[in-house]
Amino acid sequence: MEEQQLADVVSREQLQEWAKQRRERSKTVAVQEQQVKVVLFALADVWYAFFCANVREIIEISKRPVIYVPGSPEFIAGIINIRGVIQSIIDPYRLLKLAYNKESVQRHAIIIHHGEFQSGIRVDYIEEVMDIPQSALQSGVDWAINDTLRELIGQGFTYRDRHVAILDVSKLAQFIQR
Amino acid sequence: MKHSSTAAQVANPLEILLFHLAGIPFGIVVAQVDAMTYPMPDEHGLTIINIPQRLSFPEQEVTYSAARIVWLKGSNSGVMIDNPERMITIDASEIQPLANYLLNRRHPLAYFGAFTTAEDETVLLLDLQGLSATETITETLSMEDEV
Repeated sequence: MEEQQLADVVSREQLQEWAKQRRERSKTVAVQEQQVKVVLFALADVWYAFFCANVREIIEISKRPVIYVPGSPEFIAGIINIRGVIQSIIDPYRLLKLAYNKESVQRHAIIIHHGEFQSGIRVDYIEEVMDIPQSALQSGVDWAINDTLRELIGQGFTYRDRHVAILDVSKLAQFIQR
Repeated sequence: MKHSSTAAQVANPLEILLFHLAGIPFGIVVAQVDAMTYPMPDEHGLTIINIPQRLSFPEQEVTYSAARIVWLKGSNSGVMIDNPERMITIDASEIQPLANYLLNRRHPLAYFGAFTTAEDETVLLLDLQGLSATETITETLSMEDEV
């Protein structure tokens, strides 16, 4: 009906031309807007993210024993066997000096890597693996609640009205290997 | 104590003695051991290494259910272990070194690395030489006091 009324005032050719122009415009936006993939995760009730480029895999660890390594730094939860490869597991609450609360379940580990460095880091929940527009990334965000976090946060973005701090894996690797 | 092998054929076999201490699975290389004895009261002049103390376990007190002393070859040092469970044979290539940041900060030579048993248990492999090489006078004296 609406199309019929429109057709009364504009020609079919004009309509086709508009549609073509709209398609071209949307194509142009898609090409210009670079996306970056991130893994969004929760620690207690706060959201953090890693760039997917630094993520090897996400594993469920609640039923796997994490073997404590006596004498290792306090932020190391232990080691775990993942398909024959022994990986370290980082306790983010100790690393980032965050307060544990009753929501700290740490059911999953994200295996992160940068250069030679590779380790798992426990998280409470994996919220999403998502694409965000490059333009949404903010540098120099000051959302950290302590100096360690301030040192390890690279960029950030806002999602569903919440701040998401992206942890910089290269800085994290340097911090751990100091 | 049982003996089992993790693989049918191993190129560089290593015999490992397995035990748990404070719930942590440990292994020691049998080739480093001269003898295993019960703890005896006349150990003055000998050094008995207390693993929880040496490796800084978070627990203040570790309970031993069946303590044994494994004596290092060519030394007067022994290491107190608990309830030796079984011996297994692994290939040396199965030992994965620990990342530097995982090493014991006070005694970085304490571990050869870690490996996984056929039962999928991850085991920390102690280097008894490395563990004993870092002994301190204070620790030796306190152990003698305990004995």
